[in-house]
Amino acid sequence: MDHPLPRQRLRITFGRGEQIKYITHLDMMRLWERLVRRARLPVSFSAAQPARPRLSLAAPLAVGVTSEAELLEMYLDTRLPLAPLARRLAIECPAGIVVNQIQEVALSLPSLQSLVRFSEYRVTIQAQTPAAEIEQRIAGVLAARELPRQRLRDKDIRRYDLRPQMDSLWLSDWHDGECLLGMLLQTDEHATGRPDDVLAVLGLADCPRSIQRAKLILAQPQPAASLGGRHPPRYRQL
Amino acid sequence: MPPVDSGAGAIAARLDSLLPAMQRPARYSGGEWNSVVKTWSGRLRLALVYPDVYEESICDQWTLAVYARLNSDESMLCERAYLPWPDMDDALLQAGLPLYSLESKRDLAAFDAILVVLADELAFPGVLTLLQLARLPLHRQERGPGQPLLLGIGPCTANPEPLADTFDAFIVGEVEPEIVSRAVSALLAGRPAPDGVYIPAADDGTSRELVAHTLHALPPPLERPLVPFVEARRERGVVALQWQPVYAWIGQPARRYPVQQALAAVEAVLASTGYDHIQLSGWHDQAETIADSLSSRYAGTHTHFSFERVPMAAAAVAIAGSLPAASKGGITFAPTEAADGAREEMVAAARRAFRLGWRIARLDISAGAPGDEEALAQLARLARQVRDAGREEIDGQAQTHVTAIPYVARALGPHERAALPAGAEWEARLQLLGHEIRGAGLRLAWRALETRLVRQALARGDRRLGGVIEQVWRSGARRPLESENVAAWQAAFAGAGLDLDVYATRRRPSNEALPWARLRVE
Repeated sequence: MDHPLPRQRLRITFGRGEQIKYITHLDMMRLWERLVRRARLPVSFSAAQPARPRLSLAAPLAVGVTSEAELLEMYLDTRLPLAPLARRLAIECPAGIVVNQIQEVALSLPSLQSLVRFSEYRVTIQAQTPAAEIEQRIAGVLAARELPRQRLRDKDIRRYDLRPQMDSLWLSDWHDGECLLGMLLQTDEHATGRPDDVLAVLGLADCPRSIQRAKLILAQPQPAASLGGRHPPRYRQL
Repeated sequence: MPPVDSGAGAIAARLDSLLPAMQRPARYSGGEWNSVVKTWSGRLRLALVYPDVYEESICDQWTLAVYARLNSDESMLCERAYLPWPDMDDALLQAGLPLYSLESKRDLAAFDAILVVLADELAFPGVLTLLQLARLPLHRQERGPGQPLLLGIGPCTANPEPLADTFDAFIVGEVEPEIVSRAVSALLAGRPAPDGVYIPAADDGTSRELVAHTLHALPPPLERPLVPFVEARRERGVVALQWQPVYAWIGQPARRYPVQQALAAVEAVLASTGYDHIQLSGWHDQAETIADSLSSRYAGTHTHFSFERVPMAAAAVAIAGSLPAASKGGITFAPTEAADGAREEMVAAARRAFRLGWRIARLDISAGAPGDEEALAQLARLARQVRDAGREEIDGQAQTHVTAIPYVARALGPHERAALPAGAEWEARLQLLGHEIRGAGLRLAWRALETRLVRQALARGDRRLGGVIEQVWRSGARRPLESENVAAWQAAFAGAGLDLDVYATRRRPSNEALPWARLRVE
């Protein structure tokens, strides 16, 4: 079978709402594969067997977490104008998935996954802890040189340091026992900071909460022209 | 009942504290493509429950079709529930939350009626799990006005006597909106049962003939099946080429869909689901036309097609091989006999399949019908010859997998009164297949071997088995998987003064009234 070269690469920003927040990363991949079929988009397929549609999600979103800014890229065999494409997707999206933006990106860019650096989360918790106390705990956590944590993964205990996974952490709002925390956590191929972990070191693990990913922050590749073809691209962090 | 909107929103709010700790919580949150959410007021409200876990239940094509058919009627709404896995089961009980519908997250007890699909005898104890989680009494006499009616539907309603003390009524035969409305109105008004409805409380089981409900017209193939978000047992769309009656075993003639209707259903299922694989179920005398049309329409679209089962004839195999992007892992045949004269052609069909690129020939056979020893010996010979043919064609890559499914004699079927092989007679069949079907490239598997007698006993059971089912449920059989504990069934039968083996296999003499004696299918 012929595999025409992709003609268009699209980056889609979408939200995941309450209705659909319990699906896994793999479920989300399957959902998008079905979504683009329902919308009849001319998605490119990989040359490998079995051929897979060329879709990629930037970074897994934990089960139970909503998001305003998930990123997905797809390659198309045919160039399509963006407005009708957005309409087709909007019609076919299940409840809980909202496409916020579609932009065309250069076919030559490195893979989406390799560009992700940080996730910004907004975490709302119900806690009677006073604001000053929370501020103090945040300061304590940020001042720590290391925050050893462990997690049971399959049957192995994985030990790691949470501190370098936390870029920043702040109290955005507090009233009547409801407090809104902001977190900027590492999200790349080396480590993924988890909001639940941060709540644990703040002593707020048992509070009812809702977690939303507000933003995914990508590295900006330097213009390829200045590098020459054979060098790996370098990144300028935002 | 006044339209008390109990629990809308309230349950959903509490689920947020429960679901994050559950395994695969998306099984409990609904919202799937092709699920139907209607406004609550001014309609007959039905909850449709398949008493098994989500991943199994959501693949049941009959249930999916009933869901779509009932929701096509604007005078009613139909929402779904399934049995939770153990973690969610415990969590619901501990949190004091009821089993709820996936569509509007409402307490099952808030519906007018709960329709329970009875498709597998092993799921009978699960009905009690459903009642307990819905916080409803287990026996119909203990439920009262203001509580939902419990209606049984599906294949096992051919003989629902073991569950007669649990259900308010059974819809006997096919299910469509009109018969459901009539059943509910008759029950609420205390009127006699309409045709096609069996109300255990209203008669002693002998009063008059019970005619199974039939559909006036051939219902269209299902075009908008539910698409689960979580990985289910079957990740593909199914398009029926022929209509499957609810009592499939009684030998009604097949009713095939016109070719154009079947092709339109393929297009509709692809468009409504986004699946990349369509499985065609049931064979069609114009299968070649269908395959040609699919090829011209879908070649090069990365859409895969397969037949669920293929007749064991070379021409049929060639048609299956011509489907676009045909999946070439395994091809499934379901031979019922392989007499000496016919076997050569059957082997040629399998040879053709190996030559066309299939690696695995699957033979689904039934074992344990009265007097089937010779047929089984011939089928075993067939399996060996298929294996040999595969090795000649593609050497060691060829695999022949035989799945033996124990035969269950059901109400109105050809062996409804027959003695079934027991003891040494049954052992002889196991040995025959086990001895003949083995060696390199040949594999025998038994499906539901241990539970054969349980299914068989319940399929021909009478009202005394209600207590047995309850006992097994109390011993821990909350879901069908846990109903596979045969020792628990044996103990419960013994506790009721019955012997499971004898009950399951004994001949029903012609002067013995069968529990389903009044039932007639036209």
